[in-house]
Amino acid sequence: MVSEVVGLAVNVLMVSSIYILVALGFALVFSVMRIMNFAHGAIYMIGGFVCYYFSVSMNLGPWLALPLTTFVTGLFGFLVEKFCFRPFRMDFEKATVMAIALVIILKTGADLTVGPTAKGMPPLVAGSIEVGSIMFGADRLVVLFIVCILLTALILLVRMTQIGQAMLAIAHDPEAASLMGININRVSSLVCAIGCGLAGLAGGLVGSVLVLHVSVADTILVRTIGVIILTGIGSIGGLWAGGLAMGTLDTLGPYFLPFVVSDPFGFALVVLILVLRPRGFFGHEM
Amino acid sequence: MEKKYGKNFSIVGLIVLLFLGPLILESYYLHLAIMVFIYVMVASSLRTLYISGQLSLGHAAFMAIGAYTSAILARSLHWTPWCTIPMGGLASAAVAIGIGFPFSRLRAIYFSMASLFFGIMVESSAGLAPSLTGGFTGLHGIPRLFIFTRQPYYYFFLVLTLLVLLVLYRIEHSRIGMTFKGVSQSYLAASSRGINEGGIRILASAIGSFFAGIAGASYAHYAGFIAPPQFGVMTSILLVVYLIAGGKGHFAGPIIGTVILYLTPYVMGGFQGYAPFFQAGVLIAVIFLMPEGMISLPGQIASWLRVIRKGRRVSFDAS
Amino acid sequence: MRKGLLFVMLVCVCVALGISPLASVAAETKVLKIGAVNSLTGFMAAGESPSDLGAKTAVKWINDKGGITVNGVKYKLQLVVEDPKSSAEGMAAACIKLVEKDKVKFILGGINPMMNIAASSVTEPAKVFRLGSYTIGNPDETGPKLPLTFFASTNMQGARAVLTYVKETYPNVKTLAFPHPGEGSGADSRRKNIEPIANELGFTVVFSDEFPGWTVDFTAYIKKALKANPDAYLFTDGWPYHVAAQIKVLRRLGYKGPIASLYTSIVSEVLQLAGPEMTEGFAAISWEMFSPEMTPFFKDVFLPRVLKSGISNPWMVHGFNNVWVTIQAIESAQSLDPVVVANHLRSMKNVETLFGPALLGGEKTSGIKCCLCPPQALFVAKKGKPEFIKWVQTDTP
Repeated sequence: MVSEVVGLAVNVLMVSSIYILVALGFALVFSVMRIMNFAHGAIYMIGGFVCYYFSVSMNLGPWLALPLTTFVTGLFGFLVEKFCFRPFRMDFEKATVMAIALVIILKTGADLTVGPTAKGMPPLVAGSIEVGSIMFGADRLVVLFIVCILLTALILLVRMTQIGQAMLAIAHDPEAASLMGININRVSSLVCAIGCGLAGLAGGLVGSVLVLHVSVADTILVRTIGVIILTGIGSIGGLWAGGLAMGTLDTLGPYFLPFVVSDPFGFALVVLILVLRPRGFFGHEM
Repeated sequence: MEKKYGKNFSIVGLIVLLFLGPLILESYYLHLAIMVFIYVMVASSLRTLYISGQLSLGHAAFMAIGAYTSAILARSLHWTPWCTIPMGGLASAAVAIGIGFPFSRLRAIYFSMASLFFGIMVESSAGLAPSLTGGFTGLHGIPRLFIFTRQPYYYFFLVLTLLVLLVLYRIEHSRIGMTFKGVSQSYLAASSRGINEGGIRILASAIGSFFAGIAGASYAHYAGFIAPPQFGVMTSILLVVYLIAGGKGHFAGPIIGTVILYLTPYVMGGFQGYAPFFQAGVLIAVIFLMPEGMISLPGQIASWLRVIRKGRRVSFDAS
Repeated sequence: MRKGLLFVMLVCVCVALGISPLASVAAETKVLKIGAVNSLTGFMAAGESPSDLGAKTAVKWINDKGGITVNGVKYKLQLVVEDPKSSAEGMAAACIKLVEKDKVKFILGGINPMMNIAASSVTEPAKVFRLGSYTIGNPDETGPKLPLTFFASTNMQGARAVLTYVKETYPNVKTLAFPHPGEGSGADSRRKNIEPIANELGFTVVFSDEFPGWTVDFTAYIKKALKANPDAYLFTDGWPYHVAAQIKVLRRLGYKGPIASLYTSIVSEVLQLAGPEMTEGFAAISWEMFSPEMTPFFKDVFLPRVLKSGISNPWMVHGFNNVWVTIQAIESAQSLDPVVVANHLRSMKNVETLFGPALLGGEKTSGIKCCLCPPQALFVAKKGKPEFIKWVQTDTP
């Protein structure tokens, strides 16, 4: 009984960590640029395939492929910000349409080129780890570890560096921030690059643990927005809570209830929380 | 005076053209026209919510509610579709009112996110009573409105769409419509005039959902078969795209947006696999070049032409 | 305002003209048009766009042979392709176009229940013959009410063969776990069709829950399955993505029991996705494109032709088979009337497919003969490579 609970708890942690990582990128972009990047899920998916390309097709192995993937998707994010999002930075509707156009392009591109079949990548670390009567894959633990490090690094970046402070300032009040001399363009570029880079990295990490397929883009997007809702808009540090909540819902829901019930139940719960407490666990009032 | 005649003339001309449709178009094109009519209705009903300040990212859910309600009633209780379609609309409206109470308190982006998840929730609920709803595979064997020839359906949808558009147009340009717009503009000003902000938004939501439900139900009794993915997130998002790309400031915006964007893949012929790129291209062109949407295109072209024609004179005067 | 409406009118006219029949080219005579509705976009494009290529290859092969002769008249085949965009709506629109605009009498394709039902809702009333790729035996997809709808494969056709293999190879296995994908894939139909066969062979099914098709992480689901202590874990849908993801979790959680797939699953693909170590021992009916054990026709005629297109995706098999079977039915019936062809196909004893002569089945599960049961090759993953076991005759009761 205990082992079952612990095993499930570890599972929840692993799933949540991925959600947090992806949501982090999304939340950064949203806080600073006020743009809901619907293409975030697609970038996550593309990241997975880019990682596959580096890791398998070019035979660089997963450990080298991951930073390369992050760089490539980060670069993509930088370009996207410059050409696609900057003109619409404070116009939610236009930016949404732009993001949707991006999603269409990315997903269709993936359908037509990378393709139709699923792809697998070698794991980061092979084998399983046994603790008592519970077994988990070693690579999942590695992913959890990597995510924790990244999250800590990012929180430190935001709290302690000047540019991090700039991000917070813009998130709070863009006008005041620019009056204070903060170069919004530069910060936005960086934020978008980081956001997309994180998404791509997450895609690569998950791809090595699970299997890659173009369909993951949609599900991860829904989960990400759910995490943002639960955490609350504007909060970065609180994402751990939202991610954990979402991960728990996703993992334990289907475990205890037949999924036809747990799915709508999970979504209804998110909606309920949004209605009862629009600013989520930690968000700022907008 | 002249302007009004011209405008009415164009509308009448267009309607006459549409009524002549079956004479010049083959059955397959009538089918496309019917699909366009349906989405025009839904996109226009989305606009009703939009003008009251609520951008719903889950509007297709109300299509679904109307469609399934009508389909299940007709199928299980053997009531005629002519009765069940309005009931589908009412069911959608009822649900909209029900969720309207908590949702109307939400502002702007929070409402959008809540509506997104509401839509997803509705779509994923299809599996809850599979014997009734057909589950995720879909519900088939839905009684049809007419025996299977397309022409009566075409006229039915044409007339229905015109009626719905007429009603929505009148609502938007009535006092109620003004109130909707007022509520979207300023949260304080409206309530300072004694207007029940929340109530108005619920009303707008109910109206918009009612017509989405009617459109959905009509579709169910046309196609004979409905499935949850048809009313999912992608559809909801596309509706928003039709609205914004068509022109959010104008009643005909969603109409033109739907017509152009829905038909794009079908015009592509052999390049169907690439059609989505073209749609995305249209979207990008619209938001970069036509901020007010496609509906503003003729206006923009006219002013460009004017500038070209009078160019020199303008610069002379503008010293 | 006025200009706006003039513009709307103009747009409508242009659109109508652009896609109106005025723009179409007059059809050639003595051409037999066959429609193909394989998704080129959307989430089904995975399995279906290669199918499209397979169909084109088959059409070219038949035309190169001189086409077909019906009642003394020679016909060349022309494949008219429509993209159903992975949606029910798109499928309906694609079928309507093929049936009403292109006047096609034979349509090929259809791989998931939602789209199959949508397609039949158009083709049956219009008395058009349709050969779909795959069905789960849902009563809405096949049956006496759908006399012109056939399928090239069913989800249960390999069940008996694979279960027998499991019984013979692992005699200690008594209890089974069947994971069922939910979401439109009709778990109930699968259970209804497969479990009796398992029971007949002496197995007990201890787990047959559904998992959401979108499942990102199978750990919780598989833990639930393992709680029931199954001796063997048998997949009911061969989709490599699902299979590989679950295999990875199973092995990481320490499950040592035998794994196999009751439906066609490409073993080489699963090997690539889950890695040789974890996939070891996985058995399934598989289409190993380059295996020397394939039928002579497959190796000598099919493979060289598809390789010319540069792609060697196993799902091309569906497209090719569908065309070939339909043409055989037409030629054998010597008629272009879909009703006549359908009845004739139903009564045929042997239909050639890429894997050999197929029987017609489905009488018990669907009420009418409507599915092809070709021989299939059983493969097992050994040391990172798919190893051929034997040919089995599939059957759909």
